[in-house]
Amino acid sequence: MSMTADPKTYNKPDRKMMLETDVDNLAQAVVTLTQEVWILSDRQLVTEAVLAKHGLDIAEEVDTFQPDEALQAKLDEKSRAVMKRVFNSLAGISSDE
Amino acid sequence: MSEELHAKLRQRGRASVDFLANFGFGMADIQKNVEEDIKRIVPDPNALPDDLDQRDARMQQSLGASPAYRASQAVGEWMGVHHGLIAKHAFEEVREEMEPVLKKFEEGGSTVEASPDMEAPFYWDGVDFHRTAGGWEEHDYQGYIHADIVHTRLVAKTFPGGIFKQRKMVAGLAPKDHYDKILDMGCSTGHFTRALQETYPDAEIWGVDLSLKTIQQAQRLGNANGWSWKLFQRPAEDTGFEAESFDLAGSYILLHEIPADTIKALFQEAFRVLKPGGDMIMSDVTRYADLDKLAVWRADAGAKYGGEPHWRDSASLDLAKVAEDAGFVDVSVRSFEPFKYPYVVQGRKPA
Repeated sequence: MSMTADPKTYNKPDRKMMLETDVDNLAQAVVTLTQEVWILSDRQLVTEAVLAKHGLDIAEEVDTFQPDEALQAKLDEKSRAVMKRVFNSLAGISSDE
Repeated sequence: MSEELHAKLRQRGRASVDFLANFGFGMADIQKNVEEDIKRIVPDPNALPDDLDQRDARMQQSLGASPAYRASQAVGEWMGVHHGLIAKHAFEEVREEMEPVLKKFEEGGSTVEASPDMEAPFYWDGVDFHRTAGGWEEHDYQGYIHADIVHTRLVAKTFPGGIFKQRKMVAGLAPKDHYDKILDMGCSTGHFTRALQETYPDAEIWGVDLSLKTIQQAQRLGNANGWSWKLFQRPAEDTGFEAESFDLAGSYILLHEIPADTIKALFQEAFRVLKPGGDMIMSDVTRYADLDKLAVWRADAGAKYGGEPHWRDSASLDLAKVAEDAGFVDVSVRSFEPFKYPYVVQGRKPA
């Protein structure tokens, strides 16, 4: 048993992960992700505009907001769903949503 | 972690860290598909090559045909590259408000002795353990970032068995109810040091680690809780402490971060600094000897791509023999289901 010749090679392992045949799935995943990002961006901007219309500037409060347990659970559920959609798309796994 | 030391992250950092914390759940379908592909490709794990590099080459070649495996590797690589960076960026968003708190807890009964002239060993110097970008010393508050964000908000949320609960359990395995003086070998940010102090409240605790940034965080943890730890930036295998000066010497999940020869030196050092009749308790990752060939491949490949250059060295080692060779008696080993983790070896220096 001997130590790895140069442990620093583990910092950035030489690794081929995706093949040329994955490109189509990858493109689908990128578009799916773009859709998700846009939906959220749209909602955020609309929310801020609606609140501003009512005299509320929420940007700073949103930035420092700490979710309570119930909201955190909801956020976790949503983020997992988004990830599943994108990752499954990358792997070519069909998704119900 | 005291509440004051627990940062209130800004929205971008908080959401990014949550994203990482939920990664495993997001990959659930992919992993399920990978497992099905592995079952199909490897119906008999015993038929895999004995040589670990050949085994990995065989698995990579076979699983290369699995789209789910390729995707899992790509997504996992993103996690490996980005988790440390995201944690660092999340900290930078709150640095201004957290820095006075961190400075405050650098004062108190817990002290740090730095070794600016220390020659960092080859097995450690420049290595990005866990793929942490820049390694342990790259950022002024890397210890804090790792303890509060990576450990507490990411690893602790999903690690089977709970990283803090496991440390407390192992600390409680030492045979005596009381120890006057304890040495935590490779104490890092102080998670195990804390478990030892909570288990043996009256003990005087000393800790050593190569990383100054991590023991500075241990110092903050100690001071935030009113403990007086003596922390030193020194190699655990060569502490320079007086012989026969500790009643208990231990380490938690350090051994797989150092090569086999250094592990042997560490056990010898523990023996040297223990008083006659003193106890030793070391714990580490699951032994390869306790796993089937497929499980060993999983662990070994995880180490290869997870910034763990010494994992194979450690996991292949018979720690009971290492302990006996160092002079310990009444050596015993045990591991905990369902993953035979952690693996714990205990022994005693003859009186």
